[in-house]
Amino acid sequence: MKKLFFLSLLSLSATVLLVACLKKEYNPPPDNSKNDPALPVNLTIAQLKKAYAGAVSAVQIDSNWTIYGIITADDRSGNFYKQITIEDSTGGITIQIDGNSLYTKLPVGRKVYVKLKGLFYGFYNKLPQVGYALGTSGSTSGIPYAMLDNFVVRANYPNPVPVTKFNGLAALQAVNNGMLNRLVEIDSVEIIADDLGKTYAQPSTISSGTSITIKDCNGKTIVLRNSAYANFQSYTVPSGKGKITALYTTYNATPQLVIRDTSDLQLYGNRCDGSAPNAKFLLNDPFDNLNNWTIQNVSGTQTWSIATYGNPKPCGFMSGFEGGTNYANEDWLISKPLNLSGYNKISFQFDNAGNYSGNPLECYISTDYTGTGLPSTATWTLLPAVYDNASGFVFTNSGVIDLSSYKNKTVYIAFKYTSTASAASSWELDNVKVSAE
Amino acid sequence: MRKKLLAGIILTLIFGWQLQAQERQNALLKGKLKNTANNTPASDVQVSIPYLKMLTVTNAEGEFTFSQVPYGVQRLVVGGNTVNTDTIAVKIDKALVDIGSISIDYNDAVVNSKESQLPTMVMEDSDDGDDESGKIATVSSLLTASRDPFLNTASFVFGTYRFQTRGYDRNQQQVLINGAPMNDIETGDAYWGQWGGLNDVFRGRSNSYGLQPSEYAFGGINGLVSIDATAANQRKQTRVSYSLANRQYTHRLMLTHSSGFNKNGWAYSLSFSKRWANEGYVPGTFYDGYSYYAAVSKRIRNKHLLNLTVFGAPTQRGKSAPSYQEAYDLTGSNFYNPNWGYLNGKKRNAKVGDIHQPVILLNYERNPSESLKWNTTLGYQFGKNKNSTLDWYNAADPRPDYYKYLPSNYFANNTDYANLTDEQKAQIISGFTSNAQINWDALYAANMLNNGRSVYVLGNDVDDIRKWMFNTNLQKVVNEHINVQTGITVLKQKTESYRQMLDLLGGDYFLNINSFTERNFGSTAVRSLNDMNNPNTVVKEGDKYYYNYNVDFLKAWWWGQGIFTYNKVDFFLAANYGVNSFQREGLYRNGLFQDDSYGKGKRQSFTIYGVKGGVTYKLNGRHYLFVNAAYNTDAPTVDNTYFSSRIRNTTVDNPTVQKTASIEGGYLHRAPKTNIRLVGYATDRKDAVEIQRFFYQGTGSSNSMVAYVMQHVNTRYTGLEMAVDYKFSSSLSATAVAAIGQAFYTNNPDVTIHQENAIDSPVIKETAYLNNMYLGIGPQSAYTLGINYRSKKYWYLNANFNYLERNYVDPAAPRRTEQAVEGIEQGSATWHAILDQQQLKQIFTIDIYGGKSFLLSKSLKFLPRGTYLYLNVGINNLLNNKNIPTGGFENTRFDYTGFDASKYASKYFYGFGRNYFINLSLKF
Repeated sequence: MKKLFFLSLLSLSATVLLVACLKKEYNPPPDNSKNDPALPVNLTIAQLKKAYAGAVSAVQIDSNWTIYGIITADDRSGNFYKQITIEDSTGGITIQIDGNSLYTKLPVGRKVYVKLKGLFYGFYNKLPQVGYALGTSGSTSGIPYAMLDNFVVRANYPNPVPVTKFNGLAALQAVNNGMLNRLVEIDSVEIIADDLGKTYAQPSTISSGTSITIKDCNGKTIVLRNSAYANFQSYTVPSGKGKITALYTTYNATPQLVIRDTSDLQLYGNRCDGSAPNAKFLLNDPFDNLNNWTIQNVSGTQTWSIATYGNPKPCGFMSGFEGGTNYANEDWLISKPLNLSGYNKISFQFDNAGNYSGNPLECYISTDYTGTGLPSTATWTLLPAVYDNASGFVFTNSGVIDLSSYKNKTVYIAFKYTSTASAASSWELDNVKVSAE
Repeated sequence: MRKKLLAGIILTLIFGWQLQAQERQNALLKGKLKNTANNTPASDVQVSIPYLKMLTVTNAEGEFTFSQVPYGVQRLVVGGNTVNTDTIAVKIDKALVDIGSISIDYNDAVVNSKESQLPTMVMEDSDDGDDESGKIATVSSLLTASRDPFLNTASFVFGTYRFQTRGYDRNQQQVLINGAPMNDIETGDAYWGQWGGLNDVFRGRSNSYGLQPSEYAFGGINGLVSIDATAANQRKQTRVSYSLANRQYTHRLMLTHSSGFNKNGWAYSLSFSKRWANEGYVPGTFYDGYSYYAAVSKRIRNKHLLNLTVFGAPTQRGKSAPSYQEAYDLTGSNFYNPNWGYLNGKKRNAKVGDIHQPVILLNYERNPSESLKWNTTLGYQFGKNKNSTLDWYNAADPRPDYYKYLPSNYFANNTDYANLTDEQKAQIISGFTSNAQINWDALYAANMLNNGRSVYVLGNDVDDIRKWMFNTNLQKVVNEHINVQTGITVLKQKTESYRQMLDLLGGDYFLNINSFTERNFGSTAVRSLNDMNNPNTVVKEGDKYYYNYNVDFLKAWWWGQGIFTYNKVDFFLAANYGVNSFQREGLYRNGLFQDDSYGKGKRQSFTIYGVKGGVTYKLNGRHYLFVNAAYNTDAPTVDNTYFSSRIRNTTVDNPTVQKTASIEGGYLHRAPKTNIRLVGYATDRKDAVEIQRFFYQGTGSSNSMVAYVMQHVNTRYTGLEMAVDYKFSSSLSATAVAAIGQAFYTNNPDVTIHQENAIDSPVIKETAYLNNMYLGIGPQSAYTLGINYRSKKYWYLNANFNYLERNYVDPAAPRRTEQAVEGIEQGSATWHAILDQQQLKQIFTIDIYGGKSFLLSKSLKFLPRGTYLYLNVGINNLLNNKNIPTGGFENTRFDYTGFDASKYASKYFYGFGRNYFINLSLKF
């Protein structure tokens, strides 16, 4: 019996080994990224644009046309959404694709063929594009992701990315429409002083996109448009002068630049006015929130908050008027500590807008406040500033206030609001900037 | 409920007093059956008194009892099906007659129909795709073989279609092996796969169903299964089996050898098996399972028995997943499985379960006297349960049935698509069907393009356990009428859970950062670190990432029970009391929850207790009336205590035990020809916690991964169970079974929503209007008619006609809230579309089974004596109905802006079409 058992065991083991070898190691598929299927190309991008030069709305392409191009912009950073842009030696065109993270298939530098038959040629606010179907207001809708391979054929990767170089903005603006959808490199430009210290874009809860102004040393300007969904949205813009690489696009009549990533802004040199790029904003608050501030509610129920007005919106807001009644209030909005050591020239400014009768807003500075506790625990010095004296919330700049005498100290800046039971004004506060060199 | 229990006890006492006054014409007859071969108890054997139309079945100790047997000489017939029949004459001349032990022989020629097919059903839990909860349970259908026609049907016939007895969760049945509790310490579920493929040696079972008492433990509200897998309990035999099937696996080889006791009191038993399939019934599912078992027993002077039992079932399998009806329809099959795709011409499954958690049990049985039995078990279980899943970073969702890829999503949710031509619509549909499987080539290509940093990877969710079990149990026969049992159980387990990089899919590394968090805290990089203590975020194959934590469990309880057996009435009382505690220890410091993710959290400790009792009133020896009731408390699970046990130590507010009150009662008729069971039950569960984790698409800016916490969830389970078994002749019988239940919510639970990708975000509070919604627990009504023919020539044939209905799609709480119907006109079509609960279509199927045994040694003289060949064939769903939905669940996402209930559709499970199982087994 035992013999039979062990014989069976042996034969079972053998059978198991022979019959049931389930292979579960997987080999990676071959790397096809070097292959170019070399589809016959019978149209250039310039010819495509010319063919529909008169079109104002999207039209279906019924010819057996194939174009090719190198991808110049993808959606890796999120600054572009559901589209890629390709460029051949004659021009560039945006391809709308209804999918996310397209860069994993279609990264910058990949050559692609686009089989146009059946697709639509249209415009998104005057910017030419190719898509799958008729969209709204003359635009096209994206190629469904599942259908992508039917229209966009991937070829080899990587390839040198075509870029057209300009020195200053005048030459670019002279070519204008000819450069639409093309990658351009512009030398000797900087971000205007007003936009320094800002983030690339406001958060998506406030706006889906933000415009930053770029200027060259001759004073010519152009808009740099950044998406709130870009992964660099919350980073601070660079302050020097240098080279910018971006896609040249348009929003109706407004030309704008769109970057692929922050590495497209190589702004490290001295600025046009000769100042060093390290001129730095210790504070540049657009009042998307009150994170830079502590609220000291000395008296009254009303308190500082964020309101949906502003220059641009939102802004800081305080009023002792609520539900039809004026209330007596004293409310301080005190900044985070600002360390001024290591700088020689420090300047301060802010925008304000007021309305209704009551006490004006006041601005103070302190060197001995501890960061917590009532304002009365510290010494405050009133700062001279210009306030809105029109009625009806007209944003007014405070004027540049020189704080250089506070160098090498740590200071707090505060806005003091007061009201009485008979008169309570309303104040809006925006763009509080402390810059230091 | 408590009042009812009290009433039961008072009733019992009254009956107890009445006993004294009874006339002495009837008697209680007791006895015990033993196997001649190894002197072990013979359980599950029929014993009848044909003249009195009385029938009973021995329990796990081999004991049987007849009550109200008239005085005189009665002919007792032992055996029937599986045991050689023996007739014994018994003289009944006093109130209690104990005939002592009777030795019996098994009849090897009898074919066991259904046991050879157990367990073949493996079910997938709900989708783990959209959320992060992802604990996939591998569970057999439920229950086990039993002589009880209701139980037998519930497990073998209805279980195939996701039927759950009384609608209870799988954790309501206690499972013991050699006395050690095998229920998972965290979920309470018993994973039958841990001894899958070892059917030959895990046969010895004792069942108690519902609130019936068991001699081994307190039991759950769904009863208890106690398995005796010691070498001592194995019949001396060698068995080789081969099975062919088209279910989860296609082939099974099993080999078992049991020695029986030798002169010196030693016995050993070995079993090995392999189950495998290159592709199971569902496309893309493979199966590769081995099982092993070794046991040895030593008996010393009939007073001591030492057993060592070791078993394990290392199993790898490719899983299937539920999908949207649209995906099933477009691909033309309800067995569409989105988990696989072709790689180098072979089907590769992204969701692979890989488990090996062997068990070692050492137990000691001492029988100082006939009336005292003491069993002590020390057990250890260890090993890993791994489940693979696709991970991706800043890349398109690789799951082919992701809802955004569905054509309906293009058509409905993008206004531009109103301009589509019919040809374009057809193109989009064919675009889906031609991309309906995972495109592995594209995943590899994306990784290769990305300079070595993988954007798609395969990770394994690993649970690595170390579990100690101690159990000691004392059974004492106080006198002829009273049995008492008591015992203590201590369980201690440490589980380390983490995600491990399995395959970088052609890339060189992956980063250990949270992409959801990175989106919210772009400039504060530290926030998106999964582990701040280890800022080197590069992950290579084999490295741990994403989450890593330990949970330390300690669970201990005492239980005690008294069973009282009298001629007219039986009753029992049982109680348990103990503690269930656990403590999380984070091994990662998460960038978002820096203060409460790393290190040990507070130990969560819960007092658990239960009381249970019941009375059986015997109208006579064939007709019984009974009522049982129970009340118990149970600790919440780890998953339902921590918002996110993977990430942090924070728990829900004031975690509390859930309370269950249950009552059952009915009528039983046990006679040689007729067996009737008519039972009603009602169970209330209160204060349960349910946490779901998913991407919440709320209004405004509240889009985030969330923990959706429902506290104080109350549910009720009520219904009727009916079974009639009638023997037309010794060969032909019919069984009719009906289970009609209602399992539903009985309140509107409070909900709190906690964002997991943000800090200090406000907690959203709402109420989930779930009151009176049905639970998604499979068909709530099930009926079958079975015809059984058993020939004296050792073959049999069964046919079952099954009808199952009232299967409700599991309701999603987020779409039964005020904000989900805000501004929607009550009673309008939109309102109904949002709130009405979908009922799945009815199922009708036919199953047939047959088998025959051959005594080979009769014709082939060179074979050892008693060599048998058994053939069993089973065909389920004979009519090959491929459209039998067995379950579904609503999407947790809801369109709070457009109020379009179809935007995020429900997912469905489907039962197999025609499937078969052929088993050939050789025994010598």
